[in-house]
Amino acid sequence: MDKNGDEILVGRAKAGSESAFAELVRNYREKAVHIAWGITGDEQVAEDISQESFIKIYRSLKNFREESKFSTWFYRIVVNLAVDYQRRKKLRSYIPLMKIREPVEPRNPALELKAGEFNRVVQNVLERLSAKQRAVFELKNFQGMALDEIARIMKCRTGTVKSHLFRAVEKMRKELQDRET
Amino acid sequence: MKKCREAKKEMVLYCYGELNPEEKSRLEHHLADCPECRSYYESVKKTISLMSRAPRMTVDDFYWTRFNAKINASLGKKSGFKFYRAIPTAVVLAICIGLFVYFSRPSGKSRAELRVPSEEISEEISEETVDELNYELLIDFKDNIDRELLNGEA
Repeated sequence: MDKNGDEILVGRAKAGSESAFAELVRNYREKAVHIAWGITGDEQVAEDISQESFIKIYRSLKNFREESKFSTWFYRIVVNLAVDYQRRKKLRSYIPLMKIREPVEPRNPALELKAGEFNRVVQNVLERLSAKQRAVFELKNFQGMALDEIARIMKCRTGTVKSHLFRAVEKMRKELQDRET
Repeated sequence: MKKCREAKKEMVLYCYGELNPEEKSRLEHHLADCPECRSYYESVKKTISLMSRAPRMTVDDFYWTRFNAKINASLGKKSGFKFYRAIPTAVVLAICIGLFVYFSRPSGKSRAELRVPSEEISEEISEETVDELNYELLIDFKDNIDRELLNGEA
């Protein structure tokens, strides 16, 4: 959804239009669920976080001053909830929490990993990241967001985002290297 | 070396196209001259490529139906039902029920027939009772007179 489209919908939703709010939900729900899932690795938690984000939006839409883009505001809520959830998790279990719908065939024959094992390894590697590292990696690698946009969402400097990204990739690289040897 | 340390930090950004042209050129020159950094760069590239192939959550259309329903339920909305739209119907229904009750109640004449029977019965009983009592009193009085006459007390 482009900025202008969002502005119109937000304006109508603020005026009480339920159809406008419903359209905002339709436009953002998929990305919200994927971001929450990318950070938490749990389908049910991702769904709960996404729904809670929309409820928060609905209740505080009248106070939204539109100083930032709606998308920035919305994704900030999603990321904050997901990061909070990750931090509260007491145990970082090795057991994968996500439900894999389709097995992924590894395309790198050099690693010689079976699909199930690959998924398990990937999930384990992601679990090693801190909540913020995982959030930055999700937003950059899977959502394709620019670093300055990520910085606005996470309310930090771009340099901090770069640092999180570098540390995330470095950690993953070491994990995968250890498994190869 | 400082150059290698800086280069390693920039490699991730290079993979994501986040370096400006000057930074990009500087890094590429360094990679051409440093085999160790070249090897490290290949390792970073492989890591990002592999992690990018991680399976993603997939959902079907029914998922979104349930998703929206849960949001609506949390916000107190039930499938678009507007409570205030039911008010006119409720008012009409209340009037109909009121009219039914009003016209269904018993009429004045029939009410008389349905008068609490105990009132009439008690009145009849009262009259009979009075007659009986009077008769009994009369009998008693007569007996007393007879007794007195017999006993010579008259």
